Amino acid sequence: MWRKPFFLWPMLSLPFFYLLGLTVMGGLGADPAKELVHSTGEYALWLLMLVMLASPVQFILRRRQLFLIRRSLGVACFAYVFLHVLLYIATYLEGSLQALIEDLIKRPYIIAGAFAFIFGLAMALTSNDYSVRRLGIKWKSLHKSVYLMVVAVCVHIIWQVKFDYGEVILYSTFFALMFLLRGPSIRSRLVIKP
Amino acid sequence: MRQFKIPTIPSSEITPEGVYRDRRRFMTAAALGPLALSMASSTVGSELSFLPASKVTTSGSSTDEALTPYEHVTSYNNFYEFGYQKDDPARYADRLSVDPWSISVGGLVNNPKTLALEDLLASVDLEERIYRLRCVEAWSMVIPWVGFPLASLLKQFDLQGSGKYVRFETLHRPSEMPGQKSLFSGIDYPYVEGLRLDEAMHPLTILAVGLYGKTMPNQNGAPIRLVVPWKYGFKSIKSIVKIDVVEDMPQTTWALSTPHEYGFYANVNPGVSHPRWSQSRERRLPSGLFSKNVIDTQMFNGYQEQVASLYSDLDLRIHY
Repeated sequence: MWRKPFFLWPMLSLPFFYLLGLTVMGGLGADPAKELVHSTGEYALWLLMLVMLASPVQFILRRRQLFLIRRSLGVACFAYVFLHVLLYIATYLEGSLQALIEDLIKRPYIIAGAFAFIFGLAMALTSNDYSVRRLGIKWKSLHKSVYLMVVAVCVHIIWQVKFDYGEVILYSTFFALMFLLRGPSIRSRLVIKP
Repeated sequence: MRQFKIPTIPSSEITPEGVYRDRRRFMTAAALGPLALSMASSTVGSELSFLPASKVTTSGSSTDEALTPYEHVTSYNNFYEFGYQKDDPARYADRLSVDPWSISVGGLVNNPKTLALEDLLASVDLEERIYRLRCVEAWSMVIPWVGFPLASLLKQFDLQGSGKYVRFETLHRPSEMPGQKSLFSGIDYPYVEGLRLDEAMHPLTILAVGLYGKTMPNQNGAPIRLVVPWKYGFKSIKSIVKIDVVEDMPQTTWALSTPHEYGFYANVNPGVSHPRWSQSRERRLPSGLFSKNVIDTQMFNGYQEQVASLYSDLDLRIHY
């Protein structure tokens, strides 16, 4: 069931249909653009957290489920990242290439976001069986860029904080913990023998 | 939410007592409008505007642009004392009790005193002002405020010559304002804002006590807030309890927390972009996905004619 999880894609696309429904019904309030850009970013962030959680859960708790669907979670994560960027360009920037370039030059949090997007894009494009076979050993190192993506994402959200650091501290701490658990010395001590 | 009602119902249990005692004020205000007669005869208990929005302008300072619907004005707010999401204030602000309310006016005045809100309202004439509100986050609204010029309050005080600025403070009551309890907040509450004395005395600067002809909803800064239409919204401090005339430029909340992003002046200026947002355009809310409403931002939010002279000797790129 976890190798071919039929329930996965309907579940992962639920947030998308939820937003679509709200959009069509006019339930996004006064500023739908902001709501959509923010929500898609948030869904992507949660999926990225699940992706990062998969490996520690696997080697500590010996639960393989999350690990087995990790690639799908990653692809879904990028789908929301893609929507996030698309909506930001379409609404905030009104589709203007010039505005995009200006943002990419001037605004550090957009630059960080762009890096996260590029890492995500590289991984999403190679998240198919063909690429896995084709790239062989290189595939694994390419997909280690998820760590760089996490760092870029954290910078992206931290630089957006205006006032209250509570939420980003929570997210960043989670990712820092995921990084720590992967450290060889900690990892070897935590692994529960089957 | 409390609403002003036509005060002909002989019972103060329908209308909040403070408003009830103050009914003549509102009748006077209503009488200013050309529709006063028809209003007086309209159905008892209807949602009465003190002044009908479409009929009244004030010395050319009201805009005739389409109003942002009431539901959006009251559900899309930045009022961090109640949370950081736009809908948090609408959700949590009803915890705030605004009655009784008083404002202490002091600092460099010879007759400092604490005014009960109802006494303050009895001393001024309320009028409707339809203003554009431009948030630094690149969205804007058009809101029919009900209020009175700040100058008409300050003129009741004997200002000392050394006073050059006015400093405002929001209520600090963590028990009713959950945002003030946050552990990781970038600054200390209470929220503080300030104006130069000439800005404070400018006829466009008002203290608002209502919108859409109703008492100010809590999430919009009840019971009394500042509205300075040519400045970014964060200057228009909400739920004011303290006003001081001071000699030095006040340390204001946003300017303190991130000085390179928010200046003391914060005049709306499409030419000076914020590190996070270009300020050249704005989303005029509601701005749907399919009915996009994005417009050019105007210098001084369109109030250039009235206020530009205040800044003739300031470099607005430095004093942003």
